[in-house]
Amino acid sequence: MAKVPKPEQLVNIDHKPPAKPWMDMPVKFEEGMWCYAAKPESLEAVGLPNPRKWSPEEEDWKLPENWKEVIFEGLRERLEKYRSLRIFMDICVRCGACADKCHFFLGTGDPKNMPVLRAELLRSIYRKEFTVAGKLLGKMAGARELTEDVVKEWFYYFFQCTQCRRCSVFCPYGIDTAEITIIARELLNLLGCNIEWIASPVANCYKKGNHLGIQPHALKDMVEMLADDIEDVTGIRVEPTFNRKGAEILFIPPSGDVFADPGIYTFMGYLMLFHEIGLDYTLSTYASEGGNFGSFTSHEMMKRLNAKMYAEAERLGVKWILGGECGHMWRVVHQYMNTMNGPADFLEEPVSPITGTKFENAKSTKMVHIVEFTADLIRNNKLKLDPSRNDHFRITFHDSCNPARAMGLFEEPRYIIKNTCNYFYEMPEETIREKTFCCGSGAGLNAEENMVMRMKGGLPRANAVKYVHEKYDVNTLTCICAVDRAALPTLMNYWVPGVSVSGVHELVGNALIMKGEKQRTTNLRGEPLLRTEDGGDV
Amino acid sequence: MGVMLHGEERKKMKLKNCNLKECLQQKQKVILNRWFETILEFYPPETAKFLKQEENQFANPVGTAFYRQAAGLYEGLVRGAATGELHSILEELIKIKAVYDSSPSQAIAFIFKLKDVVRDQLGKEISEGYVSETELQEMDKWLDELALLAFDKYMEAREQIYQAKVNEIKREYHMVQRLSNACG
Repeated sequence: MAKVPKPEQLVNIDHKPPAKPWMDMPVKFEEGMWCYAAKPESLEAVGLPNPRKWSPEEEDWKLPENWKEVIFEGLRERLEKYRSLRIFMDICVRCGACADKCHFFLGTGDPKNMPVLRAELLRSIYRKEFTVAGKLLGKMAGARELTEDVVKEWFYYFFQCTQCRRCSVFCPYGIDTAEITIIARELLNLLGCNIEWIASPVANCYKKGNHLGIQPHALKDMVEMLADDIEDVTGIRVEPTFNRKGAEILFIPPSGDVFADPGIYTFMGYLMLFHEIGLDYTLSTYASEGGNFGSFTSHEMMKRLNAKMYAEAERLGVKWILGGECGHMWRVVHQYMNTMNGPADFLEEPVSPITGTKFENAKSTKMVHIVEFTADLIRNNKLKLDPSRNDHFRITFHDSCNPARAMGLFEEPRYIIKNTCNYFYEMPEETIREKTFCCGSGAGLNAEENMVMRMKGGLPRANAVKYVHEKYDVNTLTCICAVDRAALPTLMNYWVPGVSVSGVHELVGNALIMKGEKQRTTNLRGEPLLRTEDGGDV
Repeated sequence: MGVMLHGEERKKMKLKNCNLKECLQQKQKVILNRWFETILEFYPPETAKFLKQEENQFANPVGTAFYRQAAGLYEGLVRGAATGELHSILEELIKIKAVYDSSPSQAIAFIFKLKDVVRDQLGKEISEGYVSETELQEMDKWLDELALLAFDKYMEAREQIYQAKVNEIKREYHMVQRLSNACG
């Protein structure tokens, strides 16, 4: 008969991990903490190396025979190409300022999720191969041999970093740990070690223009359905156009706003706004995605996907591009585009056709963020707004990592919220603006199989939302990122039930008084308004 | 029916029945801290140190939540609250444990550990008979009930995580589903 442990034996499990130096601790793939491997067809679609069927759970990762050479050569090439990388490899003094700033460390408690230690996973290999001290002194100089276990460790931890850059805010040397993750993921991609949640959107975007791979006719039908919904609420028919040559502006949303709940309400807000101000714009069924999962794969892939937006803008002959509420799309546009595919000299310096405001910050990229555009409209009194239509929302604002830390876009979304809503409450200072906590699902990690990882990574964000939920009865978390809108509802449902998620332009759509509209009785979600337009209670 | 007690005997018994409660109150800080440390034993030492030391609830959401919740449960024990009253505190704590520990036994083990912590810290009082075995058994029973409730909470949280995966797919493909329904 099998020996059944007694209850006290079950309880007396020693949870303390063995005290060993981190280099001697082999990586353990815990349940719910990693994503499925990229399928061969996803890699083949864009010509990425070593497409094969494999799984991180298996012992054999089917790496190419010369995998070590590939990594060393890849790292050498990147050290020469990116001066920033060499600096980031050399200058860290391991002061620990970043250590407790990462949401994944705070949520998982895993020391290898301290940004400094996560970076050491790569630095240790760099030291061994590229520095004299590392070659001679080995471990004493923080260097170690490259082994298959190191590759597995990289895969586990560099796909537990959302490249949110909160740690960089606190680094006295300005080391951008996201850049280190980007390079590490590039190296992993050289071996064919990517995750399907990134590889599939990349392939779809490359082939069909958006993450889900929705074809032009279906995309058009979906937008028309959302126009039907707008008509139901307002009585007004908006008439978006597609692939229209000669339009003044090309509007590119994150595709999640067209496909996914609750992003669709934000998309309805865009369409209503454009209709009301009579904007001469077109959507494209080819560049139907502002998001760029290429940026989670490699610089090269980021460039290829980004180029499609500009190729389409040139083909349609528009003057400039207006971009929707997306996160990493703006990091790509704001920080890389200019030297990657730009300058886009064939476009014009963006000027608002309604207010005449020149968007000088977009002089080179020719691409304007929609919250800058709308904030400018409000500031110039071009919109009639009734904030009371949003009275059922008690709002707090989540600064999405990329618009916040890569663009410094702090005031515009708040300005719009304050003009479209009556109840707005900030989360604590150390959790917003440049110190904002990530949703825990960015940089291609909003898959389903890693749900536990996402709940841990999003815990610090949720904790701050919980605070305002309890203190001010906040029931809505507003953001300007499509990944946030996909990931935060799940996070809220687990940690802070009773808080829903919206985009800023959903609030605009609700508050916007449109010429000739019928009396509204519901918001864009079809929920009854708290008050009727004539002031009575519903 | 209980035995009828008289005068001094009843007074003595009443006093004795309150001894554990009194000790738990007097030694609250040390017992609670020790219990908190056993909860943190799950983590590597450098993490445990951080979780214990950083007092800002936004800089250290996990450590401060564990302490707050452990204190709430401890207060319930001292007060002799019905375990059902501690429903929301326990739920918050177990939700955190449910994303760390994949087995329920690991997740709820910390509740049983309080039995050991109390016995360790009140060793003298117990050996001298100031705290009776009956009182300790009452406490054990209370903690066992709490553990059963915690087990339910753990299962609810895990089910919620699995359900979240399904809900998310539905949301993500919301318009695709609508379109396909519209096309029949």
